[in-house]
Amino acid sequence: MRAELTVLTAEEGATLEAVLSRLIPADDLGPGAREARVLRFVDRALGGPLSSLRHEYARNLAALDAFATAKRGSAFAKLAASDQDSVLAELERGEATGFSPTAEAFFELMRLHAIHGMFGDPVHGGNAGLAGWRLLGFHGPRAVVPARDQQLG
Amino acid sequence: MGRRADTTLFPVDGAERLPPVDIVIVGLGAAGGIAAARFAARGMVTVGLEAGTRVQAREFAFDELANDVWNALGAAKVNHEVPTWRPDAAAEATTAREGRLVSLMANGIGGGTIHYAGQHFRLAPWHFHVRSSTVARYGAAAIPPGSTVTDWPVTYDELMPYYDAVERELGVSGSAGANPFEGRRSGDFPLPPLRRTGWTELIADAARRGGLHPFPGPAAILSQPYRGQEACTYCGFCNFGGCHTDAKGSTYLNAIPRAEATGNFSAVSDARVVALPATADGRVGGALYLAGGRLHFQPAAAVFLSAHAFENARLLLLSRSKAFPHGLANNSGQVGRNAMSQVYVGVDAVFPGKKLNRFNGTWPQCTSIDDFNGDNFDHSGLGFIGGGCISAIQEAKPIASALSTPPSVPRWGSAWKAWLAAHGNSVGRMVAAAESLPYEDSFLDLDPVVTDPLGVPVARITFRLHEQEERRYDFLAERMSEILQDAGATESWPNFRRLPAAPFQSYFGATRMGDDAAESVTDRWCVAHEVPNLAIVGASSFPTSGGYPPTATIQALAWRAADRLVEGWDAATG
Repeated sequence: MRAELTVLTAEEGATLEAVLSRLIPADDLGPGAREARVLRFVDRALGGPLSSLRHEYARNLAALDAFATAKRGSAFAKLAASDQDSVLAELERGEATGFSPTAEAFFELMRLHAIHGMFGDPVHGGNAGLAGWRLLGFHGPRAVVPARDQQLG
Repeated sequence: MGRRADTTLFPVDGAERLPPVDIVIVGLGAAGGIAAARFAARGMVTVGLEAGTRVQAREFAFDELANDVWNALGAAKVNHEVPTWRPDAAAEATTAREGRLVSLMANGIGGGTIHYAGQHFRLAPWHFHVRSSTVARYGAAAIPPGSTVTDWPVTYDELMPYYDAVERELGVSGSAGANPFEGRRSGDFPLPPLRRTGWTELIADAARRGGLHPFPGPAAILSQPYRGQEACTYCGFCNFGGCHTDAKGSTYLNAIPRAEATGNFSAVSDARVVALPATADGRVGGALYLAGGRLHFQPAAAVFLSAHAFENARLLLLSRSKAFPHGLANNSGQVGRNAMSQVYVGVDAVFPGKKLNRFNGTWPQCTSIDDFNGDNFDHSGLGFIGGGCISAIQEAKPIASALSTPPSVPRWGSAWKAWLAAHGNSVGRMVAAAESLPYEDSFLDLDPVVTDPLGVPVARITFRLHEQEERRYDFLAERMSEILQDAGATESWPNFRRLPAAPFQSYFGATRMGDDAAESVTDRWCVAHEVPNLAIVGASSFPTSGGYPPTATIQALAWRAADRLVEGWDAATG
């Protein structure tokens, strides 16, 4: 999957894919970010509408691996899922160091883009198989919606 | 470091000089579109300059990322010149970061009306005299400290015929008399309300049980075919996007083509105005614009500036000259003062086990409630004045839905996912368009550092929420939570972050209208005190925000200002 990256390096892609897979994991309820190709969405967006964030990703994905190595002994993608979750929680709480502007800002950026890629239109590279829309119960765009579809159920 | 721009950055001498016209309109959106129709109907030779391109129904995709998140309709201009924001004059201003809730203008023929939600409320009579009515009922101490709140120089009754005219021009859907708090009307709406839904009626029933007065919110969305346009199909990709079936009140569908049909009006797209040069005798001489990489000068006997709230002030401040060294119409120093941001206060709530089926329809397909707007309730002891209109809205979209989960639920991982799977179609949303007041320490100027790609300073917004605004928003959020719980919700939570996103939601003021030239930029007709052939119209004209979305009032002001400019033509143009 990482072979089709257009902006991110293979190392960056591996780290980010691991993050996205913990933010939105595959489980009994269905596919997660990996299966929905959310990495492909972020990679494409960083070459398009989000190009101004390219360096922020580069800087902070490197910081994430450095932090994971210092705290848990290996790069983020190589950690066990439970350790990955702990590291992400530290970012979310702003307890991780080495990030700019802050760990929590980078966590929020990745979470936002995970949701954009999971629930946005598949034309932008994510939401493969309509995984996000199926999860939410969103039927997909309809040009004409009749009255019966706007009743309570 | 950016450069301080002035008109010498774009010298008139180097521009291609076009044949003079009667009027040049800067910005063809809500106000400029209406003005174009008025000028053209009255025989004035008019050119409208618009930074964006021409748009049409077939190019609008059902795409939440492109529309709501990335504002693709702002690609021509505003996305590259996002204002900076700081809470106070001592802080450093920063640019809004991608992903925050920002409501930026659209660039295109039709402007913001291409992608607006289309809620089409008139202000209530009280909103035009906030200061005097407050002092009369609650005493002068009720006016917040540091506020420059003032009465409007125009009343509801004076504006009423223009509200009527705008509703007919667009084809507004609504029900006269359904809202007991509305101002007087000359007749019913041109079209019946948009279709009622399970969600809108769930909230209407709960509100009625609570003694409130719910009504179908008026909408600039066609509930039935109107003047050759088709009716709304309730697709669910309305707000932030253009209408795929031409059912929205966008001015490129009504006023602008009608203006063009007269032969008196021509719209120039992809024309980005960079300055409004003054003449030696202190008037405005026309508009200087970039198109196709070249500078053009469009001379005109009068200029109608309608470029969006913060862009109106920015363009004036950028237009420096010998006669106006601090910007056009700004020898008083009033341009940029009295600016306000209207913060949309929202509450989401979950109704477990009930499918609300809100993934469709249009935002103004809503139940609205005015019991907590203006002075429709006793403010004694509440610590604030004013209020806001609250609405239960249709049109949930998937990204926005996934971003709103209650604070009791983890924000990521399997537990978060499980909550969305169980309740994603059971979340309802209410929003309030809350009143905002002007303050001495809230203003707009040019950023000393950040520039757009042309090297022109972007607008810098200095704004913070004051105590009265905090209390007003909290009060409205509490009322919405109560209604949602009465309707069967088990949990409710706020759905909009307030700051720093707030400055980039609906923005008001900065070219305030008023009778006192020392405290306002234009007179009661929206003509600049200092420049008799310059009208400045938009939400920038508002002395107070009012407790509704602004577009209906912007358009009523535009209609009135355009008529006045023509009727007083000889005096205005000397």
